[in-house]
Amino acid sequence: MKQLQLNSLTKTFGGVTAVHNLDFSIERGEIISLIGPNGSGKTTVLNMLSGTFPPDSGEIIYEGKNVTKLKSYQLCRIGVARTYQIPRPFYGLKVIEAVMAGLIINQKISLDVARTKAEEILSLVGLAKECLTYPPFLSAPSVRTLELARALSTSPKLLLLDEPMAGLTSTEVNECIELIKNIRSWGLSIIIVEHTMQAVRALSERIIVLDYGEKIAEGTSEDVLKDPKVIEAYLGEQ
Amino acid sequence: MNFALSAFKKRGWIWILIALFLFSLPLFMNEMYLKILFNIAVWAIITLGFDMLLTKCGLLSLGHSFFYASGAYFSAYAQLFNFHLIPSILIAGLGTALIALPLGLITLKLRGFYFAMATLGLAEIAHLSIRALVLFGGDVGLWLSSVYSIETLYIVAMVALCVTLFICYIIENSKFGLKIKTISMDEGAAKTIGLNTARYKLYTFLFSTFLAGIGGGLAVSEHTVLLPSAFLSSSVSFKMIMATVIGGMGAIPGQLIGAAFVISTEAIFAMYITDVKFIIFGLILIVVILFFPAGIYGGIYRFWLSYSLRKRKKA
Repeated sequence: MKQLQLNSLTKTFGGVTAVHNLDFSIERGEIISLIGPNGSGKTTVLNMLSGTFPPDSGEIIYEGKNVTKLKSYQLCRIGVARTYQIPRPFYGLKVIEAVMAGLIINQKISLDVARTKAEEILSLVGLAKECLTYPPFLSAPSVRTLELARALSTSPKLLLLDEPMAGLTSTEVNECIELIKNIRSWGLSIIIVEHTMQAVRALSERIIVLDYGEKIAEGTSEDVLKDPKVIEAYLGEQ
Repeated sequence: MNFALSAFKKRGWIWILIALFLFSLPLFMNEMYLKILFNIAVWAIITLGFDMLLTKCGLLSLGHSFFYASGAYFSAYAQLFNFHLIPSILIAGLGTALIALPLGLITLKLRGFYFAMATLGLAEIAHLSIRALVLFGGDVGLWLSSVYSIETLYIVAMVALCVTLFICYIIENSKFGLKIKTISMDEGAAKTIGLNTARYKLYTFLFSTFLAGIGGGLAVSEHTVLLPSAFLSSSVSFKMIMATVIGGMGAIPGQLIGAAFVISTEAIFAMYITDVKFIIFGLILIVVILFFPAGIYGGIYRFWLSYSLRKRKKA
């Protein structure tokens, strides 16, 4: 069974069609990348998938159920977690408290149990040292990792990552790739929106290319990146 | 509950001493000062609730005067129907929360500035309609038949304050507290980690209005006259904002300091023209915001922190 299926999803903002008749699906345990030039509607797709706003038409089927109209907190309860392109940590909460918040909201556990579980998650993603730090004092990659840890704290089955590697150096990108591969081995499905080709090549089993809200190519990284349509979308007509 | 117990074991005797001292004050204190202390206790209860809504949910209610007055009316009518003091105050709190429920369902959909405007509008509508349409006694107000001694009122207010402080302390360190803290920081992000923010905002709103109602009920029992101009005017809401900001937003001791500060300043200037007090409050507010952005408590806390750090470095 497909874990997630999008059927002709459309979203317009005023006169701008951000996403137009988009179909794709993802199997359980798969990693796919959404790529495309700026403004091609990648983040809009993630926003619809995570319930920030509903699509104008089309439907989203998650594990056989129609979840098109669900709100973001309801989607989180059934296992869809996301990170933001511009990190939105809780600035007044310590790193560990942010992860604990995700745990206690989604599971019926006491604060003490949540604290130990949060420590486990943080040591897995490599933030154990920064446990008691407040987000403004974290480095840029650590804030991105915290964003990821907070998403993981909701025990997701489908993870939506919105440019998790934006602004990282190539060493940090490699670390982040290893981290995502590690997370993936738990059996999560992951959708990544990314510009860093290094990461897209290393991680994704399938790539979906968007341009002006429409899907122009889909397939493995070798096939897609040679596709003349994709080259045209990125570099313009020859 | 474990953390509450362990905190109590650590410094419990100090709290017991303070409580004993405060509860024994009626034995030797002048009635005028007792009245001021009573008012401080009442306002501490109100600002604790007001601050929780403001700093935990990020909602500035400019209409809390309405809930304060609603508590006063509930308590006044309960006493007119021969209810005793304590039941009438509980009726004030519960009745106010009951009224707040539909209002919260409507207004909590709004955010930030719009919520503040909606609640301000609400309070003004209630104020003007009670005075103009002669509802609930109109401009003349209600006159209570039962008169309680200031000693009784003081003890009841102190007990209410202790219970409120205890509950606030529990909330501060509980799962509920952590959940609502995320709302004030980033409501969208709180939703994406699965929090039904609308519901938690409503719970906090109800708790906050419950405390405002309790405060109103206590205050009217002391005044024995319920004048709409004294209870419903927007200056009551502004007094709450001032107490919270001057004392220190987001900290429980800050609310106690703020309430004590506002009430005692008011008592000092009550001897002169009453309009002077708002000029003084305004000036103090500007000074506090400029020099202690985290309020008096925040200022003291920062000073203590740097002092203890310096001491540790030397040692």
